[in-house]
Amino acid sequence: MAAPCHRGVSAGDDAVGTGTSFKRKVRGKFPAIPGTRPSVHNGQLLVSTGVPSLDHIIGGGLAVGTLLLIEEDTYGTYSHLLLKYFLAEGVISGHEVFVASANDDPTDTLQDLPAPLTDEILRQNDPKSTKEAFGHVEDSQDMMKIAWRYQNMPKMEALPILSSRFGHYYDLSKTMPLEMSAKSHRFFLPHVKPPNQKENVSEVTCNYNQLLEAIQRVVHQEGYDGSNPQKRPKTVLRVGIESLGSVLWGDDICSHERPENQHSLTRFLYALRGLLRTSLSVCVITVPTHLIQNEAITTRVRNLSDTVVGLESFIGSEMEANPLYKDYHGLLHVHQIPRLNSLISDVADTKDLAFKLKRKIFAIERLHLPPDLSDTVSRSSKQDLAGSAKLLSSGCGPAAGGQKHLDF
Amino acid sequence: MFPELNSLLGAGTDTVERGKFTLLCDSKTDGSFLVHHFLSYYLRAGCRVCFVALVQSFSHYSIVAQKLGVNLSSAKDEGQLVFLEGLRSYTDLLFGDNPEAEVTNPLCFLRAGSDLKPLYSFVSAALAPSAGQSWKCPVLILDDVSVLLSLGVPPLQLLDFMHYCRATVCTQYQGNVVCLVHGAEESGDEEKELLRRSLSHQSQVILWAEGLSSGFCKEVHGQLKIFRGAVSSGKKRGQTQPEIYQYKIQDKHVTFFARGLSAAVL
Amino acid sequence: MMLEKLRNGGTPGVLLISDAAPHSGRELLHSFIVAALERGEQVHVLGYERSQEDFLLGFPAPLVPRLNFHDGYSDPLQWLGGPHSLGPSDFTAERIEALLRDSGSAVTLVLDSLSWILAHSPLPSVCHTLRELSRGQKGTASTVTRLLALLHKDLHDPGALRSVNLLADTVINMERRGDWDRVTVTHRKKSRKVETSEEMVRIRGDLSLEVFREKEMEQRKGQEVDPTANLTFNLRLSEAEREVKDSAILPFTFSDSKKSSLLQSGPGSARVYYDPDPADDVDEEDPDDDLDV
Repeated sequence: MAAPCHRGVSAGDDAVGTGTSFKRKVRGKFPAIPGTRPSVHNGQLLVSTGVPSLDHIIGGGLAVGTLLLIEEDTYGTYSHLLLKYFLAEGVISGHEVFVASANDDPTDTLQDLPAPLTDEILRQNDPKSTKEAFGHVEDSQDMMKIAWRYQNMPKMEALPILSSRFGHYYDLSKTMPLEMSAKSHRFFLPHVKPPNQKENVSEVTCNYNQLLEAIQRVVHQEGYDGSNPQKRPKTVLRVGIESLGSVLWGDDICSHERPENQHSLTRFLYALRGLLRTSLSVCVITVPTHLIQNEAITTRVRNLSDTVVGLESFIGSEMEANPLYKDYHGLLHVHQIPRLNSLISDVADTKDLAFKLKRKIFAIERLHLPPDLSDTVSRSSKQDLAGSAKLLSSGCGPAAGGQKHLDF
Repeated sequence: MFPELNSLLGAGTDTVERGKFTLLCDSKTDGSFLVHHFLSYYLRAGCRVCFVALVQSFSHYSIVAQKLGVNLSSAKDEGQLVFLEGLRSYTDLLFGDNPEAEVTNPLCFLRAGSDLKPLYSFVSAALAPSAGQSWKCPVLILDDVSVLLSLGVPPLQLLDFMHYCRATVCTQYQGNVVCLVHGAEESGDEEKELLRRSLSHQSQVILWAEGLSSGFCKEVHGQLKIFRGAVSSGKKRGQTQPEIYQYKIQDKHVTFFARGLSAAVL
Repeated sequence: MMLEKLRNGGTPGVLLISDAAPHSGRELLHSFIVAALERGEQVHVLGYERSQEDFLLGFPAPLVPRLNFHDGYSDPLQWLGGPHSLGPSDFTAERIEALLRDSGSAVTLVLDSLSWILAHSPLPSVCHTLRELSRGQKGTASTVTRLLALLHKDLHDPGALRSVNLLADTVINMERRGDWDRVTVTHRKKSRKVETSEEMVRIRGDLSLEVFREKEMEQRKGQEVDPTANLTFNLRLSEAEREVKDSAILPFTFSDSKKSSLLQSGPGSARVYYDPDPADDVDEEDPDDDLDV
C-alpha cells in the first residue's frame, strides 16, 4: 500500500528503513484506518474515490500517497461531481479534508456534498439489526405489530455516523447533514493574501507555491508526514483541487500554445507528488485538459500523475443524439493506471467505458448496445446501431494505431 | 533482473561490459521494467551503482527489486548503491528550512535556474573510485531524465549534463550509463524528442519498448526493439537492423518471445 | 562512383555527412579519414562527441600517429576546471588556425560533430567560421584544405540545416535501407555546377567502401519526365469530346437508313425480267434443287 511509513506512524519498522513513502502492507503494523483497505493486488493501502465502480476500474481504489488526475468534461459538470463524491467519502470515513479552488468557494462545495444513503450505513453499523432487517426493512418499518406505539416516532439519527465501510452510495438530491462534517481545510485563491511579490516569479507560480505551502502546512502540522510523534493521525488526509491549470489560477497553458509559464503546473505536480509520497494523504485534482493548447503539456501532466481518467460528457456534443449512447451521460477514458510496488499494473479488461448518473448512483459500466426490446425496430436502425458500434470501438480503442494493422 | 533479456543482450553477471551508454525509450507503454532490470542486474553483478530516481520513491524501487531478488536497503547500507530520491530532494528543497542543506541538495539547480553541475557533482562523487572497495565498475542509472524537462530544465542543459556523465562515468571511470526517456514520439513534445534523438546518437545500445500498434492485449504487453552499434567503429560492426521481440510482463519476471509466438497463441 | 571519387580523390572544401538516429554516419566519416591518412595528409580532429580512445578505435595502427585528436569531449564547459579542453568558444577560425600551425600545408580538419557546435554557439558565428576555414580569411589562404563534418540532421531546425548545407561544397545524406546505406551525394563544383548521385554503400571492416549500385540522378530524372505533358496539341479527349466522337458515323458504315435507301428503287434504274422456260424442271418443293431425297 502506498501508505507511507514514516518514523512516527510505523515506529520500529525497519523493513524499508528509509522512512519514506510506499511500503508493503504488513498485517498489524498499521493502526487500522477507517475507510481504507489493502489492495488485493499489491498490498497498497487504498481509499475509495466515493464511486465504487470507479474504484473497481482503477484497481480497487486510490492508493494512499498517490494522485488521481481527472480530466474535466467540457462543462466540468461530472468532474466537479466526482470531486464532491471523493470529499463526501472522506467526510463519512472520518478523514480530514483539504479543498482548494480558484472559482468556487470551498466552503460552498463542502456544504453541498451529497448525502450518503444512510439506512445502508445504519445497517452496516449495527450487525444485529442488519440481520434482522435484511429483506424486511420496509415491512418492519411500515407496520409494527408489537411495538406499534413507536411506529410514528421520529427515527433516531445516530449522530455523527462514521462508517468504516469502503465506498458508499450517495443521494444527490439531499445534501450531507450538517452534523457530519470532517475536519476541513480550505484554500480559496481569491481570499488568499498575495505574498510579498518576489522578483521574477510569475503570478501563477506564486499561486501554486502558496497552495503547495498550504498543503504542506496541513500535512506537517497535523502530523501526516510523521514528523511529529505526538500527533499520530489515525486517519488519512484527502486533498481535492479543482480546475488546476485554468485561467483563474493565473495559468496561461489554456490560452496559449506556447505559454510563458509552461513549467509552473508540472513543477507544482512534481512537488505535490513528493509531498503525497511521504505522507498519509491522497489527492484528486481536476484539470481542464481539453482546454490545454499544447498537447505536450497534457502528456507531461499525465506522466506526473499516478492515475489518470478522462471524462467526456455528451452534453452539447453530437453523441447525445446517437442511439448507441442513449443510456449514458458520457464516456470515461482510463489513460493511466499506476504501477505501484510492482512491475505490472491492474489494467481493466475493457477500455470502452461509459458512465451514467442517477439520483442515487454514479455508475461506470462497460459500454454495450442497449437491448433491442421492441419488435418493430426496423432493419435500418439496427444497421445504424451496428455502424455506430464500429465507430465506437475505433474511437475508444486503447491505442490509436489503426485497426487494419494487427500484430498477430 | 530478467535472465531472458540478459541473453538477448548477451550479458551475464560474471563479466560486465564496460564503457557503455544504454538508452531506454518507450512509446505508448511504460518501459520502467527495463530500469528495474538494469538496476537489479548491475547490483547482482557486483557493480557500484548510483541510481538517480526522479519518478518514484525509494520503497517502490525497493519492493520491486525484492521481487527480482535484490535487496536495495542492504546494498545501500553496504555502500554499493547510492540512491538519489528526486521526489524527496525536491520537497526538501521547497520546504526545507535549512539553508545549508539547500546548498548541498543535488537538485538545487532547480531553484537557482542554473546548469546541472550540482547534480553532476553528486553523481561523479558517488561513483568516484576510492581505495579499498571491491565493486566491479561504476554504473549510473537515471529514471527518467525527461522529468527534468517538466521541471523546467532546458534540453540543452540536460544534454550537457548527460555529456558530462558520459565523459566521466563511461570514459574516465570505464563504467556504464543507463538512462530512460519516457514517452517518446508522442504528443509532439519537441523538447523530449530532441533529448531522445540526441541521446540516441550517443548511445551504443538502444532498447525501445513500444505498445502494440493494434492496441491493448492481455497476453502481449508490447514489443522491444534492440538497436545495437549505433556507434563506434572498430568494435564489432553492429547489426544495423533492430531486433524485435514481444514481451509479457509478469509479477516477478518478463518473458520475451519472437513476434507472434506468444504462449497464448501457440 | 561519385562517393568513391570524393573519398579517394580528396576533393577540397567543406564536406558534410548528415545522418539521423539511430543510424550513424560515423563509419563513413572514419572511412573518409582513413582515405585522407592514406594519402599522407595530416588530419586534425575536433572531438566533442567521442573520447579520444573511442574515436581512435578501429583505425589501422600505422596511420594513428598522423591523426591529431583535440579533446573537446572530457570538459567542454569547464565544469571540472582541469587541463584546458576545447569549448564552444574555441570554434573560431583564429583559434583553429593556431591549433593547426605546425602541420604542413595539406590539412584535413574533422568536426565531430558539427551538431554539438551548433547547439552551443549561435548559427551565424558557426557559419562565418565554416566559411573562413574553407575560403581563407583576409586574403590569406586557409591551411585547411578539406573540412569533414558530421551533422545529425534530426537535431536541428530545417532552416538552420539548409543554411549550413548551403555553405558546404558536398553534402552526403545517409539513410538506412536494409543492410546498406543509401547515400545521396550533392556536390557543388568550383564552377558552381551541381552534381547529384544516389548510391548504395556498405562500409567494410577495414573502413573501405563497397558501392553496391549507383544511379545517376540525371538519368533517373530523364526517365521520369512525362513527354506528353505540356504539349501544344491535345492527346487526350475529354468526356464530352469522346461522346461526340463515338456518336459520329463513319462514311462506310452500313446502317439501316443506308439499307432502306438502297432497297428503294429510284426512277431510271434497270429492271430484270425473267420468263421461265417451259422446259425448266422446277420443283416447287425444292426450288434450289438440292434436296437430297
